Amino acid sequence: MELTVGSIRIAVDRARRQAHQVAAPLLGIFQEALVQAGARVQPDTSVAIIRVMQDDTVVKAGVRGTVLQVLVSSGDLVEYGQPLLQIGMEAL
Amino acid sequence: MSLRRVLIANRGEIAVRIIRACRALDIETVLAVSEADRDSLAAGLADRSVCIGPARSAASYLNVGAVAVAAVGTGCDAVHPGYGFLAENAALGDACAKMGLTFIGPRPQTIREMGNKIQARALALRAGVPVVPGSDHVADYKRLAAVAADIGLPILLKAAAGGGGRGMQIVRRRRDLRRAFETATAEAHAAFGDGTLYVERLIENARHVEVQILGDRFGKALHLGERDCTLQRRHQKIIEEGPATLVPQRLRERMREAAVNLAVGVRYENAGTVEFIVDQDTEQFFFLEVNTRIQVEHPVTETLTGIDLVQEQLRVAAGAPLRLEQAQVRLTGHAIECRINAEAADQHFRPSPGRISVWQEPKGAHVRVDTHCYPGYVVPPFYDSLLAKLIVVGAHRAQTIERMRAALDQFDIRGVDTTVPFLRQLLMRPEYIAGTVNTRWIEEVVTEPDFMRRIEGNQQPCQI
Repeated sequence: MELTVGSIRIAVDRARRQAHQVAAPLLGIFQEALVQAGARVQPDTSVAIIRVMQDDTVVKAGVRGTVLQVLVSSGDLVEYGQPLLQIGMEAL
Repeated sequence: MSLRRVLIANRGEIAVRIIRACRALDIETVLAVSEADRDSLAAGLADRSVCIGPARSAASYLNVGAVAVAAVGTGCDAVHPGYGFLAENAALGDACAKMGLTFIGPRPQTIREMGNKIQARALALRAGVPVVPGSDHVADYKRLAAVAADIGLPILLKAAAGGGGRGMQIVRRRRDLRRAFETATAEAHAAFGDGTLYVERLIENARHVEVQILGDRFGKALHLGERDCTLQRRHQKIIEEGPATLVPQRLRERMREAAVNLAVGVRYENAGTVEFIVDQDTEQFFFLEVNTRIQVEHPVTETLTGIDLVQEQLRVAAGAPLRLEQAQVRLTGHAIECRINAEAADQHFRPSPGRISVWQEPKGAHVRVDTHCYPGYVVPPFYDSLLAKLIVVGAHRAQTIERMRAALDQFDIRGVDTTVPFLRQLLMRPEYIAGTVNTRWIEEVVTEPDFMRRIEGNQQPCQI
């Protein structure tokens, strides 16, 4: 999508260049990444699992793009809001 | 066994307080914070902090799984819940046990027993502790009518399953009974999922007196004297003091003894408080409930006894026997604590979050301030409004009141409204000084136009 209104266009350009960080939606133990660097993802692609006690939460990519890096390892404690993966976003 | 690293699942002044106690015992601290408290004073003081969820406490400070997993994930061997939040939630104790963590508080079974008014009352009776005349299992109107006829009006209806004054109804006239039953049942059901009521005689001229207890896992239990918390507003304590010199000595001794009997009877471990209601007209006392946690007003007892209650909690939780004997517990002087809240008392105690521009505490040999505030701190709107506890000690009550007045005058807080002007006015009242008050007194005082006028426009002292 091409937007021509000045300020909005700047925002889109910035998003295109920036990597999106997928943040942990809750504190828990990082079970595993379901994708590796290089994988192409859609917003609803499951990218990771966080476990709290016996309860698993699936984390979605949230954006469309390519996984650049998985930032945490299986078994790590991840805090609320901690970046889990970097995704290079595609242009809208 | 000794504790090496403790996760503190709380915020505000009590988080700071627990960190200091841990540090004194060479225990490392990990603070569980919500997103709103990442930059709090306690987060800076702790060895590490870990964000357990968003500002909303239901998703952070009340999240049992997040707290337990955060503790294990950061290598802690114990969890201190502070007060409020999960402090009296047996599920946290269960989760800790399951994950090999020590819960710093009573056993989950004790928390469950004492959290249920019906069970707590039965256990008190079994330990020979007097309870308020009433009935503990009223599920239908017919039964309520019979109970009311038996114990006589006025009566109090409460939710059997919960505390905090929710679902509470007072009935003074026979014809109001049905409507009160319906309201109380509905509220109890909405709040706790259980409409069963607990009915008791209403004691109109009451003092609230509570005994501090401490138990270890070897069956030893002590009392550390009592606190008088008669000054309350909407079931929130405002001023606490100890010892309860306004209650006859004979009654105080019996209350202390009753508290220890109950503690021994339920094999109470860790710190707790046995609350009593004292009927000033009949000079009787009755069991109210047990708070299975460290309490906000614990510094009153610490000031009088010289015993660090949070350190004792940590030692007992680590499995150590109490080193103290009852005869070694001595209360010296008279202590008063004022709760300083971010509230505009002249505007129906409206909460007043915001940035604190000036924060200057009173200083002195007889003054203690427990707080998490500092100049520039932003009081978040998500949590309770307690800013600080001001504790003052003197040789006797009159001297302590005088010192408290001076300390309040020196407390300079600007940027947010506080209850300091309200507390100042309360301490001037002849009824407070003489001690001729009851648990409803503050509710009456705040309806006096004269009293409220003295607070109005006086919110931020010394402002130029």
